[in-house]
Amino acid sequence: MAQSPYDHNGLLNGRVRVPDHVVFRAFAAETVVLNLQTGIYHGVNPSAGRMLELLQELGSVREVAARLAEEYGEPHERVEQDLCELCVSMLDRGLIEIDDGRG
Amino acid sequence: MTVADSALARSLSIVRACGGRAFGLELEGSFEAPGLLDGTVSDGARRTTIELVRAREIHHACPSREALRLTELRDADGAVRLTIDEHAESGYHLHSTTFGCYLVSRDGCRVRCAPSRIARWRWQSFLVGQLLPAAAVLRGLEILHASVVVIAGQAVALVGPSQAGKSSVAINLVRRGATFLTDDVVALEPFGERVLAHPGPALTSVRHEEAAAIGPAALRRLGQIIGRDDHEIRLRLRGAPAPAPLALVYAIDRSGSGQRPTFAPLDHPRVLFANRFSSYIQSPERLTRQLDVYARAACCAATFRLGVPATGVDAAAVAVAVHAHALSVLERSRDEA
Repeated sequence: MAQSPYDHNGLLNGRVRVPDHVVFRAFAAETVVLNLQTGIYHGVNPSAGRMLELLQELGSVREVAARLAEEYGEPHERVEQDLCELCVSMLDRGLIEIDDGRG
Repeated sequence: MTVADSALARSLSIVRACGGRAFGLELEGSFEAPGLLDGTVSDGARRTTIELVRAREIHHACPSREALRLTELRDADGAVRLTIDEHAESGYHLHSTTFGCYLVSRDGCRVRCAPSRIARWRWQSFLVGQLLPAAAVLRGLEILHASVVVIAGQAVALVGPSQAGKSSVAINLVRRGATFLTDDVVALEPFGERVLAHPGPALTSVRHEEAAAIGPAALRRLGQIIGRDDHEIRLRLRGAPAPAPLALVYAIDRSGSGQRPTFAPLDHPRVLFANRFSSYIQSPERLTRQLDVYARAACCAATFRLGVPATGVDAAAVAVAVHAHALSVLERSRDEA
């Protein structure tokens, strides 16, 4: 399997944003994420859906991890790991972007 | 009037303007359309006119060199059966080798029809099944591939692949006292916390086997036969006069091995997304609205997998089970509210 170009440490210390062409809605069993540019729908489980909501709201990956650790009562390290893996998956699919502060 | 004009008038059987309501649209047309244009023209927010025109008018409005091919369906032997092209200014051009040539304007306000030389009820079934749902989407509604009846004032939708039995179960639910809302396609609209299901034309197709099972007397009580061919009967029914809130969705699954229908709760949104319609309309506004409407529908309508036997399905027996299940669920929801 090809290695992702994104490293977890860099992600954790950075910010991401959900681009305007990505919309998502929560359903009971999953969150449906729609890329308006490609017309492709993606389904993520409710936990990942919550991660996406917080990424859109907060931007800072580390802040999102802290909030989730508190919400779910899980160890920070584990949540950070899961969150970074989700970010890599979403970056690869064009559902989120690295926010380098240029708009 | 010239000779050509009078010949056109005779060939198009122009009558006075008639109106109707279907898929949340106020319709106006000047041709006979039983079950579709049966009333007077009314002023409504979502007015769509349906016109009979010559094919060359449509080809002139939508030249192929300026259009983007969205869909091309072929028969088993490779012959093109249906094409759908998008023209930046004129709209969506549907060309069927069986049914003729049609153009829906970009705003959904106008549908131009140049039908093939086939029976009226047949090309109008294409108008109802493909063109008007597309117009509804372009007018701001969302649609779902479903047959819908009204039970206890609530819309109950049946979804599933083609030949799953949606129409057969729906017509048998009507025989049990449900009110017919629409066959094959339903237009949905958010309304407060709920989603409204709009009536379609009061028309349905019944396969000959199903018609035989229903019996001629019961069929006559259901409605008026307006056409028939080797496969089916086209029936004009009494339909629901107004939209109803969507409360139940049954996803028909014909992989069951038992003899009796089974019901299992489904939380998965893919039931709705698997039954999208007019998917070739892919503007960002449409796709976002579809996501919103489906999310709202998933919240306000209970969804169940309806397991039926793979073969030998008795639609009347399935309807008995669905009717009882629906009443039980709707009563429970009322008590909990």
